[in-house]
Amino acid sequence: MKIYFFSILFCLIHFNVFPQTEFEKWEGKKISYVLNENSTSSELNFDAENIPELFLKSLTNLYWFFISDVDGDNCPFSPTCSAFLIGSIEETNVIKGALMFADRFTRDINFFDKANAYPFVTRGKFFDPPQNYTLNRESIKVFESGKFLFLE
Amino acid sequence: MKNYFVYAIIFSVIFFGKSFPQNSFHTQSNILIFADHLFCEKDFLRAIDEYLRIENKGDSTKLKLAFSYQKINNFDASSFQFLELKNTSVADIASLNFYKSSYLAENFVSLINNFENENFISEKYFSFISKLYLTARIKANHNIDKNFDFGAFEKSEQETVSVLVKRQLNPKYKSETMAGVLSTLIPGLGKIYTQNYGDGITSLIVTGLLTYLSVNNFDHNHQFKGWIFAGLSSYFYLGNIYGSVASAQIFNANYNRVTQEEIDKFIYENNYFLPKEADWNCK
Repeated sequence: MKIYFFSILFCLIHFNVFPQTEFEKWEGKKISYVLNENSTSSELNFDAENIPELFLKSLTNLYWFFISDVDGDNCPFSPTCSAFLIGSIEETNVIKGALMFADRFTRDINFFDKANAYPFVTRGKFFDPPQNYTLNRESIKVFESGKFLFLE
Repeated sequence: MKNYFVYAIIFSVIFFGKSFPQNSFHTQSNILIFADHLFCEKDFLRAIDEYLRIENKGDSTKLKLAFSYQKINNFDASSFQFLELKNTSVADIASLNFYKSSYLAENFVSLINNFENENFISEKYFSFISKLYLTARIKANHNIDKNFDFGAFEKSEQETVSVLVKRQLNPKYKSETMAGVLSTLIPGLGKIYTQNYGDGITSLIVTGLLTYLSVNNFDHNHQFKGWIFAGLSSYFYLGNIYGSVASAQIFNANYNRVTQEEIDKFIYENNYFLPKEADWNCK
């Protein structure tokens, strides 16, 4: 009987004094489920450098608040047309941004061959960033159209 | 008495087990065996850790370390490690992979300079490396002219290479100015010129419709509506010109992308990087 007692005692002491440390290599991490800052494009903000920019941003915010948020996520593009306007103004200036938006709006209402003209990202949205339309060749990034694009 | 004997055995085992533990797991030779095993299992990240623990590395160990770096896309480290193997027994394969690392890192200028300065070129793999050099020149559009020498390529490959060179020499770009001018003349024509037919037709319809509405309202003495539609029409007209220029730029960027992809496809299909002699003695 004593031998069983000592064996169990030995095992208990041994396992606690010399635990298996190999598990540490796996480095368990806490997962955060908080959405990152870029996950939503329709965050209302009035940061503007001049009055025309403030005016356009205010219009966009009004659109987001009264129409887009109620109507739902219907724009086929990523970023959406309204986010594209904000993005293009931030990338360039008010005049150029407004022209980029006119072009984007025309492309949005094109009902001929959109599906094969752009790569698509999550939820089947066509990827069409404002950086490609600033007329700065260095900032253009093109991907194969009609294929899924994984963005980190 | 019997019990004391059993206790004595148990405690002696525990005592000796703890006092003289088996510590031969981490000898240099065992680490090397484990590292090679990881390498063969293609667990390159962990293989690197193990190879780095070896103090006096042999040539083949250094080669595997460099190759592991290359496999995890750490091309700076792999180039450095391959270069260390100059004048060793594995210099040939190291030389080939040194150039491969530069190519994969898209460090074409460095690759071209190294080749032209005859830096670390293996005679055994000279044909592979020279093909890599020529392909890097095509890819980087570096000193390519009509007299480009295809000599290093096989006859069966020369046709493909000449197509790639022609694409680089005479790129079928769309003129941004032309796209802008065409869209100024007829809305959407610049987009049709850049092969965005749907966008072009839509531009024409939108601008045309808004202009018609403007004219129609002015005709019926609806001045306010007329001016609103005139403003919108002008706005979309200007946007269409701007969009056509941007569209030409995107067309050209896309042309470059397709050319680069075709060169990459050509490289991989012909397997210039890894000759069949590469054998790592993996079971």
